[in-house]
Amino acid sequence: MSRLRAFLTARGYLEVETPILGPSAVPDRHLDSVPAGGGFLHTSPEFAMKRLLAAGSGPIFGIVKAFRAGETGVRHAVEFTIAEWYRLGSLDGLLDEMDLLLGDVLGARPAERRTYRALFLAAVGVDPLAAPDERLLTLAEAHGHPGRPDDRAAALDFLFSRLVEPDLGARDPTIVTRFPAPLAALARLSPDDPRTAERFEVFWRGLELANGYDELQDPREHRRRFRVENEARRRAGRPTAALDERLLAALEDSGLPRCSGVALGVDRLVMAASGASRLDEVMAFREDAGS
Amino acid sequence: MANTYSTNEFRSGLKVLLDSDPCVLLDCEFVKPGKGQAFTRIRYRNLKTGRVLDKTFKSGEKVEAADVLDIEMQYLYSDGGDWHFMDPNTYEQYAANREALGEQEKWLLQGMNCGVTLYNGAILLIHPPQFVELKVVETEPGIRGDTATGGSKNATLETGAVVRVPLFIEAGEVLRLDTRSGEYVSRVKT
Repeated sequence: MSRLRAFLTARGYLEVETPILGPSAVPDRHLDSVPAGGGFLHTSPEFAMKRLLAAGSGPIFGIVKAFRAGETGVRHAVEFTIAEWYRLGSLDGLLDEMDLLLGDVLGARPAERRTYRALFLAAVGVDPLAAPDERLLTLAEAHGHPGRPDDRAAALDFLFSRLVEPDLGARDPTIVTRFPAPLAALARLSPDDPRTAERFEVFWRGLELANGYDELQDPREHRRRFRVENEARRRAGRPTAALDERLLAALEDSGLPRCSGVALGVDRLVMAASGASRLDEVMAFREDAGS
Repeated sequence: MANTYSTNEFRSGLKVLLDSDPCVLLDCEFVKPGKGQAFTRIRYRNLKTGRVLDKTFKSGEKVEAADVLDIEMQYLYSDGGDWHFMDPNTYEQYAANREALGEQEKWLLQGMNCGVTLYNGAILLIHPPQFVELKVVETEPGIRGDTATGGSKNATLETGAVVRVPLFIEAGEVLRLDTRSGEYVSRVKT
């Protein structure tokens, strides 16, 4: 962790602290916030950090505890540590820096960069951007998805995690780029192909280490995507989240500068660095109370 | 309404009903790709067929608990069609049919303690102890001094099991046997 901090500090990032307890839960169909003290514990420092960026902070990083309800497993813990950082500009600079970081911390060689589409085509044999929904849904079911997936995004996620992820980054780290638009989360769509988004993930030895975006700037599109997520939560019978109006106000008033950000699972990075196969081996405390 | 288990209660050893058969969970793993949906992936053994299979659940899904109990019982006797066991705590007797017994019949000696898996109160499976001691009732005479060649021969035991034994074993001796591999382990001094 000190190497991570030293690396980011040396490269001109300012370390910031953001509140762990906030008034609203995260509007994400697959993330459940842990309620606490009349509000919720954050699932990542993303929204607070974006408010700082909108206020003109310049490049920043935070190493914080984050909480995700119900996530307990060999590679998941309700309470875990995130390192998240943002730099101004497009993804290219962030990806080059990721190579340097993985080299520094893991002694890894520069990552192999592959597009989501190329990996998916090779492992599944179907084009994730062009195949009809019907085809992907049926395929996911045939590969063991319990029941019919709710939508295209669910089918893509399932197939990718089942058939592509286990082999990713077997020797060198792999950076998966250009995720399909339905999996954009808060990444901007690719300017040269709106079927993909400028989102990436870093894998090493089948383990997902980090997830990053060329950040979406448009406040109206933010609002629209949050509503879509809440709508999906409502359909799934899960509580919806109040929108973070302070974030949206910051995006509307001062605006988010063009920036790219990434969140890295620190516990998993330690796993990768030490060759551990379970989080238990690298986390001294596994409380997961009430999970 | 039967008991149910939610995926977050899954752990190895749990007995559940899958495809309306009693099954035991061997492995379970929480899987959550990227920002995607959470799943629980399990590996389980169907206790009826013995087959090991994989299955994926959405996190939060529930499955019905199987009324499966593993206890120790004493083998009493066979009446030809059924094999009778007794729970030494309640003195209650249970009958096992050939299906439940499978290949294990050949290791059963009257009075022996066995592991028994009960499903809905009836015997589903019999697990003889891993090691049993049984007397040889019949075997060809051994040729002394030939053990160096590692030669072996058949011996019939008092339960009817036929096993390969070293050439020096003679009728009337008591042998220690591994019921999982079906192999001879050693002679037992009597």
